[in-house]
Amino acid sequence: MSELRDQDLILYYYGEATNVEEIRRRLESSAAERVRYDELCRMLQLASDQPVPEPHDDYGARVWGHIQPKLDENEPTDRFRRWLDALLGSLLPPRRLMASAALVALVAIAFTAGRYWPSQSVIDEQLSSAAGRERILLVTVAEHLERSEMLLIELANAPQDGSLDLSRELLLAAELLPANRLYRQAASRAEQPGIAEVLDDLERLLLDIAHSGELAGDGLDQLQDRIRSSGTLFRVQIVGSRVQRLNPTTPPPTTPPPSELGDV
Amino acid sequence: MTTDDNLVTQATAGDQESFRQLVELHSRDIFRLAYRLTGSREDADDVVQEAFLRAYRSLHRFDSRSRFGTWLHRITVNCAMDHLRRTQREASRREPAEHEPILANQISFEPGPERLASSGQIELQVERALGNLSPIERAAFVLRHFEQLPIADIGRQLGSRTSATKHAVFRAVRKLRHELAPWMENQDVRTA
Repeated sequence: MSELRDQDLILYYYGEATNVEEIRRRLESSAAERVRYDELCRMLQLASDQPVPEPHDDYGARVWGHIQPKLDENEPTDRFRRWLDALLGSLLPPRRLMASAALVALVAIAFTAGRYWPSQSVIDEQLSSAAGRERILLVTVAEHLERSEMLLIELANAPQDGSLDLSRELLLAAELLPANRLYRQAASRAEQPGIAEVLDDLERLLLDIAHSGELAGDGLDQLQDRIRSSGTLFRVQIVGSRVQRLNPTTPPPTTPPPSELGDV
Repeated sequence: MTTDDNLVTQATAGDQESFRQLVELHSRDIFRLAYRLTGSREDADDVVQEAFLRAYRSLHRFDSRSRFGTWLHRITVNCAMDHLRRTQREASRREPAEHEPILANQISFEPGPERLASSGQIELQVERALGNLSPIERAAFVLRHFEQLPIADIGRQLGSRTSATKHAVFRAVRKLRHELAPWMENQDVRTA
């Protein structure tokens, strides 16, 4: 009999396992499984014991004192939208209302894209020094890999009966593609072959997902096979986890982490 | 109608005094959540203020069938995740000190597990382990472990599906276990 998976024990601990009776029986009958579960409980208890500082009695008043002067300020995006509306209103006749709406949408998309997708020039500027190159790359790639990993997990676990609408996942794949391309190129320039290689694999998979049209039945089955057999999800998880550990903005651990991305 | 419902109705109509009362009623709970999510008092203060400002500006979008506390909770989680991502990016853009190694976290000048445990610094180690989680992992873990929300609800708060949320919790627990294992072994030795 195979041992219980970590996932089963974690879900059991939180009362969310679907196979509660089976896990309970296994824990009762196997000393080794009980030891594993006890270790998990003790570790999570350590986290539970973390104290939270109690806010002062007048905390609410202090928060109010900070935010009250700002309540009437408009958010920058509101000001931008009003300015754009006014500009369009003065420049465009009513019959071109539809065109103005399209223009607003276009500007909004470009604005959003600019926020989420770094331009080549921004990346090049940030990569101008070796130190900057490494720091920026580690932070941005860690985020990107995490989003990609979540997408692949969704797709790998999606039911094939079409009961789940996967259109959001297709859009996300299309959204991740241009960023992935930029990060892959940046990783190559920063001489990070381990990262560049996994981004290369990921790019091909994202491309397939983004262009897969309707995802249900055989199409989804093939894609799930591809995700499993290519090993991309596993590699994304490994590299993502290592990149995060190497990220110089995270607090220093006191045990040495696996050191080289080249191991991947 | 609850006190919150009345206050929200009046605040939505522009009554700032009602919103002040909502701040008074909820700020301490929101601080505790923000602290769990960020691990720092200063960051938690920033997140609390940002969450209330966002809530005020979005009052017209509040669905009166929901509870105000739940809605504010969700806004706080989003603010905290934005804050953590921003902090990571800003830290990454700062030039390190001349002699500071880029991959500084590979080199440890910290005291060993035994000394840390004996000096009662295990809390610090747990906070470090939590600090090594990504914003999504930390949020998923905090909401499941401390706030005791079901994974499906956490997924809704984080805008991800249940399977991905589950994996975020799994990854968080796995990383915590990896980081905390030496301290647990040390505790075993001390208890034996």
